[in-house]
Amino acid sequence: MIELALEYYCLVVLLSVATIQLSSSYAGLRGITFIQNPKANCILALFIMLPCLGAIATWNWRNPIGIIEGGQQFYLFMLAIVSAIGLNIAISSIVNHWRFKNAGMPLENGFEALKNRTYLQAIIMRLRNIKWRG
Amino acid sequence: MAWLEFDRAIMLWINSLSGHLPVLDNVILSIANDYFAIITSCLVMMALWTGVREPENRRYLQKGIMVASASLGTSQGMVEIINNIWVRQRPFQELDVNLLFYAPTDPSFPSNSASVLFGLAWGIFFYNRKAGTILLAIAGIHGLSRIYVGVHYPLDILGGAALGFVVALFFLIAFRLLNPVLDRIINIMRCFFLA
Repeated sequence: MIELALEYYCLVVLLSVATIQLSSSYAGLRGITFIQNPKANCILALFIMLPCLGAIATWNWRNPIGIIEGGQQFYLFMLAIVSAIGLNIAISSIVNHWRFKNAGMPLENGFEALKNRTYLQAIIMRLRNIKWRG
Repeated sequence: MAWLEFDRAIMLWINSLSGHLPVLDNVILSIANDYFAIITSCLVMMALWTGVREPENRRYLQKGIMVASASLGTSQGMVEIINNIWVRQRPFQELDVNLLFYAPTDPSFPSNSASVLFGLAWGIFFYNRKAGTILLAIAGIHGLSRIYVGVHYPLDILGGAALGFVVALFFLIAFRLLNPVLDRIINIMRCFFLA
């Protein structure tokens, strides 16, 4: 059972990471893409996504009696998505840190800020700009 | 009842198509599995959340994704309530069908996966016709595949689709009334670069 849950969790994490990479490349959110060239990043995302989709599609052949209950599936799915977002933020912030280090543009709200900053740079700048009440 | 007999007859006809072409059976089996359609639909939603370039369009679609997510969860809950009221046997429990799938133990009506997938798809459809049509197609193909492999009647799928529609419509209206609250939630998420 634990093996099945772990397999499901890992597949959803990888699929979510690949989906975020594909859609952020399309939307031009360079701060959260792993590779700056959109085509190369899409190829990397598809390289991750297609085998995982294949593994999900063949689940019942590989695990004929391996079923994850609906409720458990929901919690595992949510956990996997949160992990994927965290993984995306960590990897993209590390690989793009030097590229966007001296970005002097004013900080925008929402995903627009991630066009020329990594997530960590944007969140640190936001926290610095907050006027804390003393 | 005549309509239940009709439902059984359609189920038997669709199920009789299985077992002739192993390749087709395997393809349909992979579509019918518990995870493929729901994970694919959720990934489409995730792509829509991030992948829209214009901020205003993105904000509009993100509200649709909130409707779809609420519909998904509520449809699941509604199925459990209906299952406690009416326990319909699975086709393989009362008919001589060609069962290609493992034997689920929960009641047949309404189809859990169909109601969840249709709830999600209708939620998106109200906000984006193109993406919604793709998701409705995924839900429809998944529903047909569940009849083909012998675990559902057509009425289970139609019931799930109708339930998904009603729940999504409810949340569409409710969230239109709560529009300022949704805007506030999205604004908070935008502050933390999550929307």
